[in-house]
Amino acid sequence: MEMKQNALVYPFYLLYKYHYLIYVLALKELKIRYRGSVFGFLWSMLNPLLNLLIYTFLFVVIFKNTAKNYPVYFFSGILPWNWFSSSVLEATDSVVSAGSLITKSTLPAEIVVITKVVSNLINYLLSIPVLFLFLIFFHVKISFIVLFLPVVVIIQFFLTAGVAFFPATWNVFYRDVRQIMQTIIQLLFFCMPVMYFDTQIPSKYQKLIYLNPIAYLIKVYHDIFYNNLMPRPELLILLFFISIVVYIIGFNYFHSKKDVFAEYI
Amino acid sequence: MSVVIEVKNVTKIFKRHTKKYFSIKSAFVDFIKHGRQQVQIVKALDNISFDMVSGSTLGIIGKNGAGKSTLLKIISGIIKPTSGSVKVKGSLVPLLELGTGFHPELTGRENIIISGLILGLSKKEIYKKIDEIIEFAELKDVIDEPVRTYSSGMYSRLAFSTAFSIDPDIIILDEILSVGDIAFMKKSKEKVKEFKRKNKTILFVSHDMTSLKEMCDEAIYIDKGRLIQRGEVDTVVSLCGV
Repeated sequence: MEMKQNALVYPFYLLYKYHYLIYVLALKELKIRYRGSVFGFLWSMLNPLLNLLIYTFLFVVIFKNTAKNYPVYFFSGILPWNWFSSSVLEATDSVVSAGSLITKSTLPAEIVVITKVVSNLINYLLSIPVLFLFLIFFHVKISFIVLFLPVVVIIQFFLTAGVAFFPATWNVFYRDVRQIMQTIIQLLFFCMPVMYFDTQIPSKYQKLIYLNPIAYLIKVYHDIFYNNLMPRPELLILLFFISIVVYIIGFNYFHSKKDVFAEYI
Repeated sequence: MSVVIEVKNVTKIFKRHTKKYFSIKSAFVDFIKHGRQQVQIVKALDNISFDMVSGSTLGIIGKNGAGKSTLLKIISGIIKPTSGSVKVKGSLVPLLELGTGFHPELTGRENIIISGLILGLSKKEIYKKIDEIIEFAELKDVIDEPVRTYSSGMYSRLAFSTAFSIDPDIIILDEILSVGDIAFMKKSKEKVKEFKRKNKTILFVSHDMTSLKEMCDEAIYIDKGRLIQRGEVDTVVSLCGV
C-alpha cells in the first residue's frame, strides 16, 4: 500500500507485481491477431521477411541504391521503429477499448497500456531471427556487439511506454487524438534516419534530428547491426536515464487522470 | 465484530454535459457560438452513510437507476465520490459482471487464467485452482475449445466458476447469481452461502427478492440516490413495496 504513494517506485512496482498478467495479456493480443491463420505466430517472422524482400527488391533492383547493404541499414532501423509506432498507436486506443476492464474491475488501467508495448515487443523479438538471416545473407559481420541488444531493448521499452501513456490519457477525453496520432507518428518517422542516412541531410538539421531520443535509439540499433560499432557507453547511460524519466513522468501523468476514466468510457 | 466497510456521507455528482463532446472541433465550435457550455448536474448518490461489520451480508434494493451500481463502484474504488469517504478494511473483490477479460477466440482454459489473474489471483493460485474451476463449471470436455463455441449457459458457468475461485475478505456481487440452469443456480447460491460460512463480508445487489431474503442478514433501500431505509430484509422489502 505504501508503494502506491511513491511516484518514483510505484511505476516499477506495478511492472513487478503484474508481470505475469501483462505477459499473458500480451500473448493474448498476438493470439487474437493471428487467430484462425495456419501459420499463427510464424506471421510475426513471415511479415518482416516478406517486407524485407519487397524493400530489398525496390531499393537495390529498382532504385539502384548504392549505399552498402542498404536493406540491412533500413531493416535494423524500421523493425524497432515499428515496435515503437505500433505500440503508441495501439496504446492510444487501449483504455477506451478496454471497456469493462476499466469500468467494472479494479485492475490498474496502466496495465492495458503497458500490454500494448509488450505485445509489440514480442512481435519485434520474433522478427530478430529474420534480421540475422539478412545479416548473414549480406555478409555483415556479426560480433559480440549484438550483446548490447537487450540493453537497447530495455531502454526502448521504458521510453515507448512512457510516451504511450500520454495519447492513451488524452484519447479518453477527446477521441480525436487517435486520428491525430497517425499523422504525428508518420511525421516523426520522416524526422528520423530510418529510410535515409543522417549524412544525407543538411548538417544544420542533423543536430535537430538528434534532439529526439528515439532517433538516437535508432542510431544505436544501426551501430549494433549495420556499422558493427560499439555503442558509446555514455550515450547508452544517457538514453537509459532519459527513458526512465519519460516512463516515470508518463506513468504518473496517466495515474493522475485515471480516477475519472470509468466515467468517460 | 469490527467494521470493515464504512461509507460516510458519500455524494456522487455526475456532470452531464447537455451536449456530449467527443471531439475537440465540436467543443470548440460550440464554445465560440455559445460560450461556456451548460452543465446539467445529476446527483447519483446523495449523502449516503452506512457501515458493515465483518462477516455480515447486506443486500441493496432499489429500482433501476437508483444508484446501486454507482455505490458499488465507489466502494470498489473504481470511481471516486464527489464528496464523502469510503473506508475498506481487508481485501475486496468486486464482481460487477461475469467474464471480465474474457475473449471469445480464446479457449475456456486460457480465459480462466486471464480472468483469474485480472480478479487478483496470483499465477500460483490460478494454476492450483484451475482444475477445481473446470470441475465446478462442468466443462471438462470443452475446456480447450474456443469460448465462442460455447452456449450462453456454458459461458456463464465458466465465468461464474472463475469469479468464485477468488478468496478475498469482502465480496461485492452485482446481479450475477442468476446464471445457468436451475441446477447450476442452486449450486452457485450454495457457493455464496459457503462464503458466508467462511465469515466473509458480502455486499449484494439483486432484483431477485427470494435470493435476497435467503442470503442477506440485512438490507438497505436506495431511491433516487438516497438511502431510505435499513433493516431486516423482510421489513425493508415490504416497506419499500418492491
